[in-house]
Amino acid sequence: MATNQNKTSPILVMAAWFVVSIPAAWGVYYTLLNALKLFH
Amino acid sequence: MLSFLDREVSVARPGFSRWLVPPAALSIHLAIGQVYAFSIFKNPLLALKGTDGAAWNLKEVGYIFSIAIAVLGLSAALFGRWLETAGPRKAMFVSATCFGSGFLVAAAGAATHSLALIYFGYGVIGGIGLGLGYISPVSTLIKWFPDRPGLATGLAIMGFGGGAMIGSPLGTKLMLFYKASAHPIAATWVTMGLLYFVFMMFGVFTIRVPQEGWKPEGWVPRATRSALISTHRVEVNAASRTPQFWLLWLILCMNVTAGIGILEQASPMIQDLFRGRVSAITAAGFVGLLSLFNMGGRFVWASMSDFIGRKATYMVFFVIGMLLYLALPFTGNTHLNSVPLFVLIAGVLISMYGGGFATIPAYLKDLFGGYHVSAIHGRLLTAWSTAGIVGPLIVNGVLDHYVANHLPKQQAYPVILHIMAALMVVGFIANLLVRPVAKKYWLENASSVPASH
Repeated sequence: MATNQNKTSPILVMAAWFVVSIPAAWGVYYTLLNALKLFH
Repeated sequence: MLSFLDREVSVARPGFSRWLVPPAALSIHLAIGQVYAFSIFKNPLLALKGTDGAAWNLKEVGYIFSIAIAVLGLSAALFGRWLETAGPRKAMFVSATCFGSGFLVAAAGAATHSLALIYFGYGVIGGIGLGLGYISPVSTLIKWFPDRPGLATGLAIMGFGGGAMIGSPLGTKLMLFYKASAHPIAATWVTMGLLYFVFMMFGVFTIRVPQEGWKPEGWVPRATRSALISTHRVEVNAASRTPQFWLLWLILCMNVTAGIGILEQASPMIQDLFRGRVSAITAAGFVGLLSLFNMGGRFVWASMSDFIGRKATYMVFFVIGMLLYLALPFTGNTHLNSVPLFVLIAGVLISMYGGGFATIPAYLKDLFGGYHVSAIHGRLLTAWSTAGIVGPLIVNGVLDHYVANHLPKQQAYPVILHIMAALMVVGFIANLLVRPVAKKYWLENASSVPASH
């Protein structure tokens, strides 16, 4: 059974998601900017 | 020296959070999804001149993408079995090395005006990186998320849809940055190759496989489950011989072929159906919006399949898909003349196209178990390669026929979309025929049972 001491830190999990979310969010932002032209 | 890549070394210690695995998978898929943004290099490549003043034509440049996608399918089918033995970390490392170095070799080709070198670099070496990278995290994710396999694989495969959204502005900005250099495309590709390699290394070092017999804390498999969810394991070669494999192959092929029918012609289609109302710039916005639906659909539909089941999810795709493909031509300026309705319907259709990609690994896992699911998935991806050829052939064939016979191009779209609706019917029938895998294919029945991994 895992103890609390060797459980992965939630900060590490958040940091990992941050690493992949930043470029993804950047890409979505540019795509949205492009998509907005459809409504102009 | 490279022993850290071995499967045994990547086994998670007790207490390891499974929520670190989807970001690892995403780092691979977000990188390799760049292939869908390759079209941004088309015009700059066409403008390149060799020392003798020769330039490449559109067809020659178009082959770069086609080779990469063909090699993706082939390498996924060929190396899937090796991946199951070597483990996801080694496969992801090879994928990152191939994808990154493919850019470097292609950059040498751009600098020396050698198309053969670009074909070999981006198409062949990079294509192997694409195929291995696409399937490498699938079975690991399924093992970490036995309670939500659709959500887990949907998250990763969503990354492949999102990769183009990163690759497109990144490539454009880098080409602008290197505009003054002697070889802007080559410099862009060297930078992209290095950046993607580093980004993918994050996945390589983060990925872990669960210990044998690991289960999520407090999770108890449901006592009553659909007959289509097997508790047995099927080896990849045996799986390829089952009718279920070929039915799923047909399901994926039909879904992708129909989706490509819209994706291939998205920009000209909206301009032709709303002549005078939608400009080329606005159409580019429509294409961008479709990529958002494509990405979102991968996550939403695959996650939903955990609740309603895989077969029901594909039933939704094929029934609603068929109705929407039939309805789409009526939104044009000869009938309802509604751009928002056209965009909405096309968006839902493309979300189901993406959803079809993202839900198939969980469907495979249900039918064949998680034992060789990456390898089986790899072989199934040949359906994608086939659809990549058949879809454009249908669309361009019908369009060419109308143009050759001096008929209005606008009238070709209802024909194309009716063909797509018919493909949905074929997919529906194939899905209806899916039954549990027969006992004779179970690994437990094989005369020699290989060691579990």
